[in-house]
Amino acid sequence: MTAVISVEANYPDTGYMSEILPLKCVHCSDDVPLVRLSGDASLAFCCDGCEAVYSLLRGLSLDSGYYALKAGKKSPYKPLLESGEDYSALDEAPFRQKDVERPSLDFFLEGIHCSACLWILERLPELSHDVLSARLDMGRSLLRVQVGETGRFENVAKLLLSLGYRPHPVRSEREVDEKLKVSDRATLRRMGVSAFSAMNVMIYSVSLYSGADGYEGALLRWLAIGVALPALTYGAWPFYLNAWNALRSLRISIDLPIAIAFVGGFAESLRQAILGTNLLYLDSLTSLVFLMLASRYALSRLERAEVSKAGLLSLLLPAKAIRWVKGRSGNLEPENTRSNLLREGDLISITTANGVPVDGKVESGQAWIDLSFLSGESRPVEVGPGDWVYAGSRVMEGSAHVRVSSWGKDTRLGEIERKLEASAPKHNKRTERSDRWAMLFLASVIGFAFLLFFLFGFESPNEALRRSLSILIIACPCALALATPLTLARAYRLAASRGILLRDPDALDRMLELTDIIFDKTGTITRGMPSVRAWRWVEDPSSEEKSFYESVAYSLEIKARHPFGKAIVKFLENRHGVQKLAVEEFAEIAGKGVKGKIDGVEYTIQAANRRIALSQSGAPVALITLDDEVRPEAGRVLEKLGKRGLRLSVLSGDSLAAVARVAGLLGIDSRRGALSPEEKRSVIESEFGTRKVLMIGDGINDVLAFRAAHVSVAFNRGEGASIESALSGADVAILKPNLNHLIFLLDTAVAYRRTLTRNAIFSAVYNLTGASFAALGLIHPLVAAVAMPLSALTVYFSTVVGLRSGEEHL
Amino acid sequence: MNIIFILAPLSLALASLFVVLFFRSVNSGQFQDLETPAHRMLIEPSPIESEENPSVENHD
Repeated sequence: MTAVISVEANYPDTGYMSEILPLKCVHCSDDVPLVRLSGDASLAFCCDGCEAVYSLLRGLSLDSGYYALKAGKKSPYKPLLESGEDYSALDEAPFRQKDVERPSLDFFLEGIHCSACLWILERLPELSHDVLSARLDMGRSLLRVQVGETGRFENVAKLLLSLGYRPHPVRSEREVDEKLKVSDRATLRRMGVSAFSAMNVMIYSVSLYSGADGYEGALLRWLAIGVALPALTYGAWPFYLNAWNALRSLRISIDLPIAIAFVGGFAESLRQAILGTNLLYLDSLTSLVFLMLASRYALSRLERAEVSKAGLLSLLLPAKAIRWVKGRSGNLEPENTRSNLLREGDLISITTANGVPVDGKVESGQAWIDLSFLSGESRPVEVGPGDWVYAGSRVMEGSAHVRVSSWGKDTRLGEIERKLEASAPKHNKRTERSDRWAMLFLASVIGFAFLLFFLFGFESPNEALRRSLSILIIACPCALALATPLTLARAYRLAASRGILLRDPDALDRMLELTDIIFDKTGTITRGMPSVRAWRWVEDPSSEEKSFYESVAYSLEIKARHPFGKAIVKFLENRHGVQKLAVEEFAEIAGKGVKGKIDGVEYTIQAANRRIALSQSGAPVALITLDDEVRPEAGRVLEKLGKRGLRLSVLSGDSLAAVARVAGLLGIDSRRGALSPEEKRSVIESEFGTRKVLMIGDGINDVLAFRAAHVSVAFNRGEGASIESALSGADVAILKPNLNHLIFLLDTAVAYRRTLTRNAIFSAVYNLTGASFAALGLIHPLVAAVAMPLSALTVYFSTVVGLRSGEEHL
Repeated sequence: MNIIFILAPLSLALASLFVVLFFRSVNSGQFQDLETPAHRMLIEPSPIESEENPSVENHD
């Protein structure tokens, strides 16, 4: 018996059923709400989705393997049995190629977190007849799925959802990705060649240092020169190229002194070989080429593992739409079509089955729309004849006929995306802070070398030349050039371990200049989802009656789609005495609530003014108040930020009253409400124009503001919300819904800067010392061979140690 | 010590062979995904296991 989890394993040793700690869901290890526990169940699930996956796996005997690998790790997303998303477009162009026998499609998956994911995803063919093969790239969360002729990608997407992943089809706008892949391969090849050179040259050098001479010495000398060439030409090529490009634009990058060291070092080694001595620096040089290529490669790989940059419009898959056209009889008849085929003037139906695919005006009907992409609020807004609806919003209840006014790029959503693309990111190139230092450094080293040569040139030109060139070699700022990518890579890793994605490496530098932090309200400071704040009984029922009414409310609301329903369910599911009852004649009261009959008696739950009333046969029994509660950690986080001297503000698309309430609770004076996405940006530009602002938000309604901010952070509001929409245009993404990560981010930036500075100081000291010794003629190639890698190693350790301290600040 | 005149070029030739093989493996895309194979390695049942004990996983 492998799959049945024994009851004892879940209950601590209290012996009391009523005092138990929550049972864990067999599938996702999350807490199981009390209401889902039946008396003697040894298998409990937190939701229907988890139960479904478990049954699926068990039915195919895949459960033991899967759960063994999962080992109790929690999944970030729950399995969804339905999502309201229409994936039928995946089986047409441009997703599915026509004349291919076994078409394949890449999905970017949110929710990959462990080996069990790999295990189950690559066994997709066993779970579905549609899939022929599935291959996962965990580093980039990409799943490549191949289907057969009759297989449908739509089913694959639904299966992935039901397994607990959020699939996003990736289109081939991945030229950037391709370029990176190509350049990575080139770097790898260069690394291979440089390693070959370095290792062989080192062998020869040992012999030479030990005093090889005569014919053998000559052979080794010239072999060393020959074998070093591939590393110093092909291997070091990127450095020469960068240095040259910088020179052409009259800049000096840090690659220039490096290039000079390589060329100068080679020249000197060649000179010495011709002279017949053993003073060749080739071993230091070639191993440095390898080290530097390796560090750049490591950094590039880390940068590649970022989330795919999907455009906003890709969120709107062309979905099925119902268009009304004049039929032969002269009446309007419904026609099935696709949203990307709709045109201005068409009349379509919008229902809860599809999202709203276009911008348009309602002509008839009544519906409740979720406009969170514009306002951040998921409170449904009622629309009727004459009102506008927008592409990207979802229909929560009701249905309506809409006259199409714009589609695709001309919709509100398309406009936002266009504005996003039009405004180039504020910070384009890598801040070459090292540029100025590189210039200074180079100037001083070359100057010094020349000076030395001219001073002693007449006495012994040979020795003078040797010393001058050895200055150039030993002073190679390799350690410094290694330090930056190394530090950055370390910062990336550290952040990633906390679920923070650094999409723009320079953001870390910019974070140190901040004066203000601007928060979005809904979903960022608050949970973004309503929750029950108060439950008041009209009269004073007995506790059995209370449990009964709570069960009634639970049984009704579990069938509702309204976000209020979820809030009530969440509140009730862990209370003692709540059970799921059988409901007859269940119906949703459009826009207001739900009703149904239990044991013949009719109950309704509906909104009255600002509260929700649970009524029995018309008489109110309980009054429920809902609220979008502020995140528990928000208070302390804001306090800590305030102590750092940062000014805090709230900009929100929600009403002024709601903003005032939350801001007042947290003591934030600077607040604006009822802002559209465009207005958020213009507020930042106009009122915060001169200040350095960090903007943190969770939705599409924040993306334009991101552009105006000095640093932008996309925040995952949690509760299964996908973060993809906010990613466009954000410098950093916080994947776990906890505001403490913002503090961690700022701390990491400080530790990063400190480590860089420390490394820079060390490099400077080292170079000064080395240059002085070289001037005195004390730098034998053997000394260089030891000193240069040693300095690189020291920098490495300084980085690793330096970027550990970031963790302690939480 | 004259042997070095044979050994040195020979070792170079061998090393060059390895570089060529390395190039081929890079070009074939082996280094594209460095993370997943580490997990995959721990998951696949070894051929011995599945042949001699075919019922290990399916028994309850």
